[in-house]
Amino acid sequence: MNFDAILRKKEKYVLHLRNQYKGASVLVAMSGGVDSSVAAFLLAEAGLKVIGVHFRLIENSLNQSKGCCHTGSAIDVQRVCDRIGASSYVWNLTNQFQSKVIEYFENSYFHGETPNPCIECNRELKWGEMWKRKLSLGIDFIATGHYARMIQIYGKKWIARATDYNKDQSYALWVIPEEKRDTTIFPLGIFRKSEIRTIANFYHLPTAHTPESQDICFLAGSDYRTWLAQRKQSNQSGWIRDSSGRIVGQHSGIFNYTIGQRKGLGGGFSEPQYVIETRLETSEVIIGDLEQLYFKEIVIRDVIGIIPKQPVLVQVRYKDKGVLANAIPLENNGAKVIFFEPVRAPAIGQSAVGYIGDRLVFGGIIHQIDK
Amino acid sequence: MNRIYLDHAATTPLHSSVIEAINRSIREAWGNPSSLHFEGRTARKYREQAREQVAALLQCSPEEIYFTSSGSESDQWAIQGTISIVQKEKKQPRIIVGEIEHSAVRNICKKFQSWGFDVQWLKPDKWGRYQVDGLAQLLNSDTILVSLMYCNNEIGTIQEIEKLCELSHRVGALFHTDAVQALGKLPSPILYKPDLVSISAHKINGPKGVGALYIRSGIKFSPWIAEASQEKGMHAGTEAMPAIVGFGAACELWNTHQNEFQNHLRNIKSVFLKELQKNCEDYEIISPNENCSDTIVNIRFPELEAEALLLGFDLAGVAASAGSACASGALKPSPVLLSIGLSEKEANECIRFSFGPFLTEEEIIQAVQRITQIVNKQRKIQKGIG
Repeated sequence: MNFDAILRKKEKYVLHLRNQYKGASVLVAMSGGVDSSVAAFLLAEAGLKVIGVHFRLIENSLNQSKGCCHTGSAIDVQRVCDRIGASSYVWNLTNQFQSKVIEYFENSYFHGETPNPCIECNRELKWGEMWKRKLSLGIDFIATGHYARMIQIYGKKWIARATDYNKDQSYALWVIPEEKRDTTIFPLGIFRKSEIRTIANFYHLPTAHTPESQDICFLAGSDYRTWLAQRKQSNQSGWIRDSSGRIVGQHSGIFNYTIGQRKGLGGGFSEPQYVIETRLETSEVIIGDLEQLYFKEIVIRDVIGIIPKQPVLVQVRYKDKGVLANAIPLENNGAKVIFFEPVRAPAIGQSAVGYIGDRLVFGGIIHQIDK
Repeated sequence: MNRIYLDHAATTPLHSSVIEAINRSIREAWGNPSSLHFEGRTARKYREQAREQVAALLQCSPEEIYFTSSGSESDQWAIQGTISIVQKEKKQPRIIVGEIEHSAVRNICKKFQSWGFDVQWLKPDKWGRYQVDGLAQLLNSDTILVSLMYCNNEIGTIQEIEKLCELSHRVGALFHTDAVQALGKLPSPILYKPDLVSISAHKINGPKGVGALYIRSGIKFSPWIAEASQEKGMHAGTEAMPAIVGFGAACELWNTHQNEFQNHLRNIKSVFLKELQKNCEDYEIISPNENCSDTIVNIRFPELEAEALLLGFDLAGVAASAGSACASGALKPSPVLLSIGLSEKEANECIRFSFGPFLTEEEIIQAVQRITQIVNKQRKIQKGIG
């Protein structure tokens, strides 16, 4: 799309936002990156009263080069807010982040699971702490720079995929409970990343050239295994066994292995080998060939949304095409998901999210996988 | 909506007489006061007049006033200027510093401590008062400097400077006091015979970017900048003339109206507290009842986070502040509040309201109404969420 077309698209969209929200107040979660900056900008352009909030998540992170925790990011947020006529605040959420996200992240690994800290951050900080403050301040909406849409069908709000499937982040948003969706805005859902950069550039937003954010912000680019190693002494080494129980090698510590992983297993196998299971109690890593990495069923817990009678496309990781499946509700907010064809390496602790078309219908945390 | 500014301990608005003086100095005193020609002499005249105005408010001799860029700079100069001269005379020079001093004082002392200096920290009681006995226990014959502030910037506690100073002098130590929050609002600290006093212009309706250090004549003290050519060889850099002239004008203003301002401030604070008592449930006054500045009151709203309250107040047109902001602007629990015995959680529930002489009673009543509304609303939602 050429330059003029992008700006026309933006103008049209701002008009739409204006019709829908003009005069309302909105808290915008701003990381200091280009996405949330443009989100705040679009809302301000549309006549909303924008209040930008930057979360400080980690103490003493002056040395970090980027991310939510960097002092420079807070200053960038201020500059953007000053530029677009919004007020800006920094919230010190280091304690909440430590107890709700980092500890969860570590414990999950220490229990042999594969956590998704971004999802817990959304649940506990953005639609948790920020939500609470939105209510107490009497502010009408909250908004973030996620690439996702909020669509309305029969008077009900649904989270939907961004039109740019490559950037779609709806997978990490299933944790937003229904009652919070009415007053949540995702201003970026109809744009491509390149369009967002173009808009940021054209309007001289100070963050137009910020680099892409990290996968896991608090690791600041380092490997999660290093992080865990610094925090837990007892990352026991143990045996690597094949699926028949035969010892085929020794591993360096159980938390260094996740289902589907190929690295760190040694060589000399006739077929490529993958981690198919980790056994915490015995500190064993079980490996198998590609075929053994595929699973037919999963059970999920803490489900939010509705389990429809029709087949749904279920995604078991971020950036995944998804596999069609039938879902059956279980008691205690659980559900069983039976895939039409086996799905590769669903990891316990990750989220499984069901879609009908672009619409996100349910999500839950994987806690059992079956052949 | 009218804004009501209750953050005068952070900074104050410039008074019209100060703005006029600054404007005049920009037009007329643009010369370099070190120059020998007419333009230089004119600037020098303005500078010296300002020095006299500052000295008049502080009740000292103009020769004892040295202009700096800020109260923080004055604080750090007071400590470093003493250490670099006196340390050679003592084997193990000791500095005694209060735990609830301004960060400029605390931070430079921490640095000296990390370099191996003997730095002793004086603990305050739960009202922020330094006890004379406590100081007596820390003083020894190697003590070269005691630094204790006159009026605390976060909770308003006024220290018994006279006794603390006298005790320090008995062992031959110099006594420094940070009087930034006290200048004009309390009796001059000079009455208590300290050796070094830090003051700043922008807390008394003067401009930012200028402060002063009072250095008692006759004490051993080292220049701030080596081979300095300004301020009688003690400081360097061509003077910030508009700021210095503005400082003088602000001191003149407070000197002329001192009684009137002080009475008004006392009244304002009592109206604030009465209104709060009438309207607001469940709060705790952290500032002491007695020996507290009339310009500062620190209040804790249990179970409510200051961060969220401040945002609410700001949106409702009331400016106040809390804790100490780090470089990113995020609030951290105030070391002052932790030092007087609050937990981290409690410290994060405290807000400082600080007053100036141009606030009206009506504004205060209106501000308390807004504050109460927000506090009650946040409390309701807090309870609802659990």
